[in-house]
Amino acid sequence: MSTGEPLLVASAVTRRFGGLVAVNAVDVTIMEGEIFGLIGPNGAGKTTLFRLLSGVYKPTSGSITLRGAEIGGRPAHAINAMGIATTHQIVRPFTDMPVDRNIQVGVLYGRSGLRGHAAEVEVDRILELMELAPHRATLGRSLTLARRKRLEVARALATHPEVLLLDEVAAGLNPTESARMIDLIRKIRDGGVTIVMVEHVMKAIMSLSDRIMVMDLGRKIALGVPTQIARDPAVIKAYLGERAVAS
Amino acid sequence: MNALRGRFSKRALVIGQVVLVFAIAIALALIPVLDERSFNLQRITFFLLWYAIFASSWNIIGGYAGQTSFGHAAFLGMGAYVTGILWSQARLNPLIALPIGGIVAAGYAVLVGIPTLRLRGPYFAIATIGIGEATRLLATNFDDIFGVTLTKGVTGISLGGPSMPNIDPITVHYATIIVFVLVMFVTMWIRAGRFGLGLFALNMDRDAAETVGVPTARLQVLALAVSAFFAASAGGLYAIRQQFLDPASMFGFDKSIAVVLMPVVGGIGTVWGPVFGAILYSTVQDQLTRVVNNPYLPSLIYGVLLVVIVMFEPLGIAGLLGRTGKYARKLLRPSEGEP
Repeated sequence: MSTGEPLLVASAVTRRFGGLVAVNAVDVTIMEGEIFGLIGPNGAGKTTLFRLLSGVYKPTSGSITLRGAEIGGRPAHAINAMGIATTHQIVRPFTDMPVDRNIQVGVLYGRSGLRGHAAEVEVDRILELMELAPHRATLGRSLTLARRKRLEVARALATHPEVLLLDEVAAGLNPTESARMIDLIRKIRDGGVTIVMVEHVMKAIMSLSDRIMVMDLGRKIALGVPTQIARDPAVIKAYLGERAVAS
Repeated sequence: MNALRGRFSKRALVIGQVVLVFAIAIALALIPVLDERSFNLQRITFFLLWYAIFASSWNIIGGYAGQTSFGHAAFLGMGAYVTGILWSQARLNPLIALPIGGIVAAGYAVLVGIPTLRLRGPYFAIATIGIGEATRLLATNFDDIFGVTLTKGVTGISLGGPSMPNIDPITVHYATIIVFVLVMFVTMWIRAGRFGLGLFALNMDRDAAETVGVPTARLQVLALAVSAFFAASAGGLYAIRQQFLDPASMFGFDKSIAVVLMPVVGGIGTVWGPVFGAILYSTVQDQLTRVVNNPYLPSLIYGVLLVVIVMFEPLGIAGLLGRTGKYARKLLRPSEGEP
């Protein structure tokens, strides 16, 4: 599917925290319409890179651009207005609002520009798409984890992003719920939204991603299609150690 | 429950509330028409509406946006003094001075809101106490500047009199009703629309609201400005009606506290909560004081009521009424009442 134009481009991006180089001179180009997976062992720097891509962090050096426009240093709502929507690893629904109002916030403050009746139709569409329609009147605080995760994605999607950054949306879900989430993410991509995801659930990332980037110790160690990645000696070494490669 | 959230009933609810506001306004407007000498009733009406306007204004920033301001007397007093000074010094018609006072206070709110609204939770509340007190001291000490008499300090300023543009009490009565209708419509409109949705979202989770595109800083400053405008209008109305202003009463910390307690006891974040709170407050504090002839008993009663209501229903009187309404509907339709 990665046939489109370059959308989100990181060039020689470095991010330091004091003496620690969390992300070290990483180059990556995310193409329009693809599902891009980001993996790596704990402490590899994937969450930092993710936060750089979503504009939460500003790079120490290097640049990140969306369709050529620099994203660093803007407030979060302005990043969203540029077309980058993010979900939080620890889901944060508006707890005292029903599901449909949660989504309405995204529709009315996102890039859709929809108002009034058209906005309500859009809320309904997203409720259906994310399989939340039966729970539309449930308060955010009363949802199960799986539904909260779907709401988190739905609310981000409601802002009509060009690229959706998903932070471990399958984490904590059982295999059935996880499979359902995989289907939904594919459906969202087929609707024209580019997806970047950080994920620990290997089944999810391997089956979904068009391309996967592997990080270790702040560096990019591999980039390719899932089948290549699974055989890559550098990746196996990073995850399982030296002896695993030899045997 | 599902049916109640339907769009049709939502619209019916809005229309019902608009009709209710108009009905109250017309009923109160008839008081001087039916009896021109109903001074006591006009006085009660004035203070009731005055509290309701002030409490509703606070509810926009404190209830909707969830930023608890303990300094709203700053805006109340500023509206009162700007109206009073323009009336007495510039010989302006007080009804023209009134909205000017509101605009000045809104500008002041933007000025103090930009730095303080970045603060969260108790830190904002503490900062607003500081703003309230600083503004009171400013009013006390700016007695005159460059030879122009301004606040006359602690002695206060007397308004009205033959040298100033005249305004009759019945006009003040109608002006108060109009400001009340205005504040009700504005708070209803905010609550029903995009602006209010953004405020509620940032109230619940400011960071999450930002990531879905809500410009939280801008919305909060705007909410504080609208809130200050109406708080100042309440102050201006007081100046026009009472025709005497002094910093201790207009900028007093007790006013800042009263304006927090009214929406809390009535139903914080609801349209009618501040009105219920104002009814309770003015009944207990003002009317009871005249009956029981003891200055402390009304405050004690009010305090006890406050604790009891907040303990049993976090949404105050509005929450209690809502619950009663739900219970009544269950009784009327037992088949749907089953959980």
